[in-house]
Amino acid sequence: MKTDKTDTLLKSIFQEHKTEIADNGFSNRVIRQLPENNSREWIVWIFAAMGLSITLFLCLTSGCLQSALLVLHQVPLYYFLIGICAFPMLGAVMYYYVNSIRNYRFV
Amino acid sequence: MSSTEDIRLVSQVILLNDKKAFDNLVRKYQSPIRRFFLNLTMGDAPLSDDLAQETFIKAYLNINSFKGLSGFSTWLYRIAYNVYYDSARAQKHYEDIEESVIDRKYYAENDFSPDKMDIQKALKILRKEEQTAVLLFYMEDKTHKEIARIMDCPLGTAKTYILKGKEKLSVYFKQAGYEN
Repeated sequence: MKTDKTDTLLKSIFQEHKTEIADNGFSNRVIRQLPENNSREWIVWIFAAMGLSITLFLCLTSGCLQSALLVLHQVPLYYFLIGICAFPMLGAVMYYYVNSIRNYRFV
Repeated sequence: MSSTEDIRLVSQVILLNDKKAFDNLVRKYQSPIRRFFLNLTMGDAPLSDDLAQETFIKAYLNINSFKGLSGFSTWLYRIAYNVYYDSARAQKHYEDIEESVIDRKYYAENDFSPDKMDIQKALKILRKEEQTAVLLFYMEDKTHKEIARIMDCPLGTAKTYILKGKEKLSVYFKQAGYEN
């Protein structure tokens, strides 16, 4: 048999015998056997707190926070109300948009 | 799931210790890994499941060492390969178990037709390294480069294993009446 023919033959034989094995609770057994590790979510919170602290420090020392407060002081009250309503609405629209893209990609 | 999705899940496991993400990886790869072991152990389903379980637990414990240089699948097969050879060395099951016992066990525990025995019988004529390389190449569709990574050997050596395995199998299947 020639090499390419042998390759084709072997490929077809092995692919013919390639069976998908049903899970039958195997994955659950594996997950139950996994050792309990301490959650590492705190890493995310530590970095978030550090980021927030640095931002606040920079704002306060550079005086930009005070300037922003002065500007905001002159803004009418209904501007704030519109802002308060607009942010959740914009957030919701963004959330549904991102979710629709994700569902489309992984269906 | 794409390899990008694999990397996203691995990141979730590493950063957040997200077991749900790892569960998704296990569900995706349980079939190829168990099939790989089932063929290497000549159809010993309980042993295959034990080895597959050990593979996934080792993967979970060492997931920090996954650098993403190769695909997650290749990395997982590398662990599976090591688990199998550690087990084989420890138990020497492939030397101690008589052929007849394997055959009986195989028929009893697996719902395969006698035709499928041809593959097992054919694999028995190969050396362990050749079996692994041939299975990865012809059944699991791995490339030469991936096989070299999995078996931790030079590319040329991996190619040689496949070539020698192919030559032996070619003769075997020819004698068994398989032809193009």
